[in-house]
Amino acid sequence: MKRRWIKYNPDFNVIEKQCADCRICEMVCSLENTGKCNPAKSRIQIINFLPDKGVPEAYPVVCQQCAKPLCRDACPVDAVSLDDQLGIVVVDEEACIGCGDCVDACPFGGMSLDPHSGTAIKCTLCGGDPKCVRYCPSGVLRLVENKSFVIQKKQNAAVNSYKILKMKTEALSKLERRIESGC
Amino acid sequence: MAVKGSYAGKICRIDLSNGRVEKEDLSPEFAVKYAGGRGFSSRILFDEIKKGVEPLSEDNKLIFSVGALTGTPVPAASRSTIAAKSPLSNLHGDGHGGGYFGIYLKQAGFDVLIVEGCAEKPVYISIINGKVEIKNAEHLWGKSISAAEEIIKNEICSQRVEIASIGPAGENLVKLATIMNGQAAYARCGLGTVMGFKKLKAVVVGGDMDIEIADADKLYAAMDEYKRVITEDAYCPPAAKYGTPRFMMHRVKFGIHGAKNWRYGGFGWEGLSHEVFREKHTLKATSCPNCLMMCRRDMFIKDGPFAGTFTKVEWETIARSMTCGLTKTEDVIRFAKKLNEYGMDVEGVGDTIAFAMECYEKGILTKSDTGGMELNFGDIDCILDLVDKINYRQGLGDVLAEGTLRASKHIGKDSIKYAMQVKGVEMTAGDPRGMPVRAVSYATSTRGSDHLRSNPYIEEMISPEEGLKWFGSEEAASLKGVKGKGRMLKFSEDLVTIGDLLGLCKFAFYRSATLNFLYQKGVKLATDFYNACMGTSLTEEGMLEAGERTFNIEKAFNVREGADRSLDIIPERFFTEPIIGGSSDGAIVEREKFEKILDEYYESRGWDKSGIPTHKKMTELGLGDIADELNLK
Repeated sequence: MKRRWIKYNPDFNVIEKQCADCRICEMVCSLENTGKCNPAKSRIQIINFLPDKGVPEAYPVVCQQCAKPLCRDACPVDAVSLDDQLGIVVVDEEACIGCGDCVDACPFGGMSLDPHSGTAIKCTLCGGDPKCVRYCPSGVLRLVENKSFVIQKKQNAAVNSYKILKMKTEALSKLERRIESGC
Repeated sequence: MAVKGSYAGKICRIDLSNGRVEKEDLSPEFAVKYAGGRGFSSRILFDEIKKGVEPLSEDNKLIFSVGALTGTPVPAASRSTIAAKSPLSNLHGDGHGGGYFGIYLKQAGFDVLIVEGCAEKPVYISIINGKVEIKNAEHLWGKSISAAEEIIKNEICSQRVEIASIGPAGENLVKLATIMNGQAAYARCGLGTVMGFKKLKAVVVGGDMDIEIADADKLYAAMDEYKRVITEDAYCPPAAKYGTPRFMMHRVKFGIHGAKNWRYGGFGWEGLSHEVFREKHTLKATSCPNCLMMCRRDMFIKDGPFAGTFTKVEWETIARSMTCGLTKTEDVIRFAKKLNEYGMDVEGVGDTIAFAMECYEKGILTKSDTGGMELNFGDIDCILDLVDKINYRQGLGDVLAEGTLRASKHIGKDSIKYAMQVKGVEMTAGDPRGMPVRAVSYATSTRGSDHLRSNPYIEEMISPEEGLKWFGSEEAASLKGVKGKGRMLKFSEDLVTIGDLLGLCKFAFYRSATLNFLYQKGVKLATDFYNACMGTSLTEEGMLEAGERTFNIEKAFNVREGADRSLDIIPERFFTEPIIGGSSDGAIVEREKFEKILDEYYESRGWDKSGIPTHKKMTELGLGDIADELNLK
């Protein structure tokens, strides 16, 4: 089963590789999905909060296109479903009654309610070319696909584990040599 | 007929004297002709503020206008304008700010907000989705910017609102007061003072109205092109890396720090370099709305006795800190924090404090004037103390709160020599000595001394061939040259005015490493963006003409108030005292060259020798009615 979603991918050690709070993602998302500019209708939302030291932080919140979507399970009128072809979760806006149970059920804050129609709205990946990813100036929004994402994670983990293991082995053999030579 | 394109389509007029609220349609003809933002506010200001109106009276108006492209995804299009007759210059006044205020005002349903009259008691205006309310603000009076914002946000029960407010400085009618939107300032011309006189603490805006885009595909294409240009234009990557503190390299290159009240070109700047700010105080790169450059920097003091101090610091804060002789980054951040919370213009206050310090150095001010305080350049405690005194108008602060020009009149004794101002508005940016176009640009700006009215950098970056092609003389490319400089300044002013019409940031669109990139971003792409959003087919020439039209309206405002060539002048110091130290050591502004460039400038503007627009020129620009009203020849 193919799945794709948008991931926030910051590097907190690099000042430019974090969400800069420019919110161009909200602008282009609303334009692409509604034909109008309106950040309140954006499927991706930048949330500000004060984590510590009183310095404001910005964090992008967007649907993670789950394989077993809780929003779907929570929907009383079956308006939410999985689109196997696109690999995403979709809302049938005609069927949606706007009860907000999907908003409540989602642990990622990925569901929104349209401020005008009142019905559920969510990330559509813009049909495969997400505009938020295309215009994010710090490049911290990434479109990932489940297979390559898992493989990439494994590859990174393998390289890291290899480095650690090799370091350990070398240190150990150094120690052994010192013991053998008696000093 | 309703206006088309990315406008909200409405003007809101609020009279604080009687609480009346009127909503008018934005007419399509007006929108097309004046093209948004500063174009709207300048024309309305001209039409509605009659000759001789006292800036601090209930006849002055505060006009908020949103950039034409603000509220669209156009990169760095977030700016809005606030205009009023300036209590510093008694002439046209305006200030421009980035941030979300303009976007939310548009989404609340209005392109322009006109505030008239004065309230009896402190009030704030709330505009949410077209609903306008005037609310009591007595409990907010006296509060700092951030404290008032927090209370208002709790009252409105929403985080998705934006607030333009004044701090204690505006309330106390300090003429150097700004209007703040969070940490972003509508800084110049004493706008906060006008707002304080109206007893208007804040304007709160919020909404979720749709903004139309005529042609989304064209918009995306222009955005892609802009993205490409900012990776190729050598100006952009360092700007993105360091933010505006990178201008230190520019100031060092030309030796134009304006240090210690605009005397020294050589200055111990190393402690304030962009590298120090990046290494010591930058937690992360931030950005104004929609901006792909990410040059905004909020600075944080990580350790030491002032650990935890956090505020937005832009280049002008660093520049004016040098004008006051500061050499440590912590001092700059503390200075900025105080001004941002009180709602004060860092340029005005920086120059005013430096003025007082030089007067003290020269013995014009003594300890009996200062209340026992020693005013020494570089003494941060003294500077912060003076900021407090200006803010609350105590002692010497009461005199300085009037700005350098009025303070020097009050103090007398030749102190006018040390008041660094043009038309009553304090100096900005870098020293003009050795930089011919820059020198004249400070004089010709329609809102008093100002580098952002023209971005006078073209003379530093073009080749002689380009000078000949664009401005009619190879001399235009030389810092020693004269010919072509006036035409260059005229072009430069029209060019950057486009940014204020459309709501585009000057750093993102009107600074480049080459003239080609500058034109590509500032005119070509700006026009493409405008046409994509509005569904129009305006030409690049038409865009430049819109800039020229707005500039002429402001000039006409000033002419009606009696301004002529005699006011288009810079402080005497620049003509007579050579710059001390640095790479421009010994440079002055040569008076003869200054006058020649000014002549050429007036000529290229189609104005007469005394700097008065001609009837012919105004009519060409579609401003015949203004020409008639002023009886222009």
